[in-house]
Amino acid sequence: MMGTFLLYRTLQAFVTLAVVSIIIFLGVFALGNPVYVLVDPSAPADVVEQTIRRLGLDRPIYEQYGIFVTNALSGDLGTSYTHAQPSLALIASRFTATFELVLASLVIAVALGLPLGLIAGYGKNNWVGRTLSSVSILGISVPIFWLGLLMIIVFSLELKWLPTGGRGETVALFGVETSLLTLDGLSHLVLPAMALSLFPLALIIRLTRAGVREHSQMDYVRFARAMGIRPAKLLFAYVLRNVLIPIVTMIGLIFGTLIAFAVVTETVFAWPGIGKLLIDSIKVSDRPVIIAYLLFVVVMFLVINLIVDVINAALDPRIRLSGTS
Amino acid sequence: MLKEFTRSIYAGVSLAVLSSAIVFALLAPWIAPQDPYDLAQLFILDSRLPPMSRNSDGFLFLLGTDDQGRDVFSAILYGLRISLGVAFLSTAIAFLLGTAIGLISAYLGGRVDAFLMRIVDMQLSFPAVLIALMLVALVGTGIDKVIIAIIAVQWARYARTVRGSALVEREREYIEAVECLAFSRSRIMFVHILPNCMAPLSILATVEIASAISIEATLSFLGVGLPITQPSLGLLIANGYPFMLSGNYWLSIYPGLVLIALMVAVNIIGDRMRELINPRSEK
Amino acid sequence: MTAHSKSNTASRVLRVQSLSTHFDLGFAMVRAVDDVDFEVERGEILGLVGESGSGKTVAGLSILGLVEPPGEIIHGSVFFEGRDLTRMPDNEIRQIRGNRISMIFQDPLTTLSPTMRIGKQMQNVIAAHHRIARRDARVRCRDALGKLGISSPEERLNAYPHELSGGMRQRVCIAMAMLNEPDLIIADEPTTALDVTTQAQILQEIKLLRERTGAAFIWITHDLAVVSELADRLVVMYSGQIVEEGTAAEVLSAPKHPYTHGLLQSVPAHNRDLVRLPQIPGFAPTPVDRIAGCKFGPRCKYAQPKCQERPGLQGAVSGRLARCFFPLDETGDPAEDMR
Repeated sequence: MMGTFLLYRTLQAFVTLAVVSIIIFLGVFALGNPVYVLVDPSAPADVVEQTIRRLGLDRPIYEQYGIFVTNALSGDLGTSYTHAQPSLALIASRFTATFELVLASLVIAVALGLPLGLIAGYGKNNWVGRTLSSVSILGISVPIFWLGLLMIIVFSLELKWLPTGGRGETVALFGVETSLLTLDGLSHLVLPAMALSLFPLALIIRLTRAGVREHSQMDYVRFARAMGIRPAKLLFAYVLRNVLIPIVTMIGLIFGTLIAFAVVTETVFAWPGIGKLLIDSIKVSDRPVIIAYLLFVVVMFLVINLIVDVINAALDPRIRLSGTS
Repeated sequence: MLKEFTRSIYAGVSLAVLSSAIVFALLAPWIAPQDPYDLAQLFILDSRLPPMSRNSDGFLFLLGTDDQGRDVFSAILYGLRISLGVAFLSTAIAFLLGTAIGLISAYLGGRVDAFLMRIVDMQLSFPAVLIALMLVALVGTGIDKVIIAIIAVQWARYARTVRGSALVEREREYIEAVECLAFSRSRIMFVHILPNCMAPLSILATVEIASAISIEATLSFLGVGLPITQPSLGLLIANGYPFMLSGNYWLSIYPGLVLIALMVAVNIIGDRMRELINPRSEK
Repeated sequence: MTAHSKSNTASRVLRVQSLSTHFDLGFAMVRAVDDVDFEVERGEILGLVGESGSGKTVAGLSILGLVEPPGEIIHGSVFFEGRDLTRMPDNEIRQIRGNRISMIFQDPLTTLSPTMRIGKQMQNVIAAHHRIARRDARVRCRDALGKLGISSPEERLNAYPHELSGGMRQRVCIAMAMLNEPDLIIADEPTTALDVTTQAQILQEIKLLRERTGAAFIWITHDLAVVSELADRLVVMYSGQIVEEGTAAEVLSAPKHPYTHGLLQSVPAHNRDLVRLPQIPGFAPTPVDRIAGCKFGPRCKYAQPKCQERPGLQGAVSGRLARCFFPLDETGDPAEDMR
């Protein structure tokens, strides 16, 4: 059962990837001058000429797409003009910083959002619930970048508690540079992670509150109460377990969204992740990096969606039966 | 209708904020104290003055000046014009495009419907900012590209909404009655079903204006949106950013406050419309 | 106040005394349960009968303090072992629930948590009240399922609710309610959502369980056919009030209240020879309606001027009561003085 389900979802993911790769291919190769995807525009004419032939750009477009895919599958997405290294390797080396940032803000959002949502949903009409709707309007209305600026002004420039930007000191852990293990690194992480966590925080509070409210009224909760189940057990083992299913889904999806949102946060706080890399690359038209970023993020997204589906199926026994629903 | 709407004080205030923003934007060239992009009016001596300063001529800079001696208040009025212009234009086009596609999808049904909705689902599974960034990364920056990006982000939501409502409406009895009169299906779709989809569409359009403002501001802030010659609110914030570290907060803060006021107002209006049109929905 | 002198304290499980549960809806106060008295004897099955909206479900929930806001018990007591459940602290009444007094609900499809295995849910019910090794608890759960005629109970313990049929799930719920061998089980229309065959099987199992365990039941239902098969005594509710009370045989064969009479007339089994089933004219008052006199007055074909006043619950024989100034006699006609 689980096998067919997984297979179906994986196939779906591949179809999406194929479609997106065609869009990217058409976007870059059909709209721009494809030669300059792989060759620095300032290169001499004979080099350009040579590359056109080497890449087969004189061949029909579907053949070119085949070449693009073949190269992409072997990990070759071109070489960055500005950084003079393979674009995919460049993305990979920057990704840890982005991953750290996204992870930190998710942790903040979940650690604050779940309890707040629970209080707001379980307690009847308390202050959390009352302030929530106005805060959530602010949450979706305040642009992340402006909030980031405000945080820099308050916490860095005025209070001088935290640095204004950059990643700070990192240490290598299993060959990966991380700032989670140094005090300096953590102090650099706090502000961007907080700024990035606003959106998922608001979302998680909202979802948790709505879920707890809905489920508290359900028959199975009333029955469990009538059976004398302790209130704490009722909340955590019964209500929360059922409420968590859509939230786990959402957290997974938020993870992908945050990678996209990180573009803004990284720019504001000069955080050296893939988002900042993308913006810098767009500004100088470093196409191999742009392509690598887009494909990388799309693949990330599809993988995340797949993982979320699997976790969901594990949490909710009903999905396993309905399979592809 | 308006009376009912303004029964909520927040909604009333929001409506006032939005309408005055529109009026200010439309009248910017006449009410702005200075034409911020007429270089002849700028003096470098006036640069980076804090709010409420006067220059030697006694000219009052309500919200201070930027590094070129430009009046921030005037720049905001002009920026509002650009931000709102881009948002309304792109929302309008996305509305028309998405509605048309959604109606066609519901009208034709079958494979076309399945195919179109597959695209919609696929697109909506990616965050809007990512798609917008993807597009400007592929086609480049500029005001037309930003508008295209916003349309590309938004059309799918209109399409899904209108298709959903159209399919529900089609099942209603009065449509059956109209069908008995042997009107053509396209006539039924556009003349009878479309008007009945307007309620959810108008709520969506309101919220999407806020989202359009936000996407444009974000792209412009990142430097991949509007060109420097067309400074929207987002771009003004970005331009003020480097001077913030030296304490000239007003360059970024005031355009930001206007932007937020605008977005909060539009979102509250959207919420209120949802409340009025669909009273059972919870916030 | 009604006095059931024939029942002494030793044989009595529960005494509900002038219980009133109201719902404050802001624009109106709904008296869902309005000054209700009844008792439950040890080991008896008491049928609590009424149409939907008569207050029977709220009465059941009120006993265990399970009424949710805006509903509130505003008056009265529920005595269980000499203690008033309505004044009990939360943690103490929790220890009664599912342990000494259990409850079963109407829709078996929604009363079990969808994401927890049956066995786990059952063990939680034991663990909420007793310190007991997990393995022993599991054995008890398995036996409880077996007693309700569930085949291969061991496997069922590992099943999720959606893997079982509705009838099977209701059996699980009943087994859960019986796990801690309670003295009283409040069953709120537990068979209404099931098909007729399953319903009959479950009723049979309930009878067996009652004989084996000696547990008392309050069987809440609108279905007279069900209570006629099952109940020892009946309490009939109309618009939040008890209108008639007596042994099942008495009430079913010779109803004293015109409402009960009407209800019985509309059950097919009670008048096979009639072509068309008679209905009670009009509609039950909505809980918001305020009726000055007898609440059934506006629908009663025997209504008299006196019915503009409020009748009390009264009767010549103890335990045989009707809320009517002119109770019907054995032949189903109004009493002598009214003809």
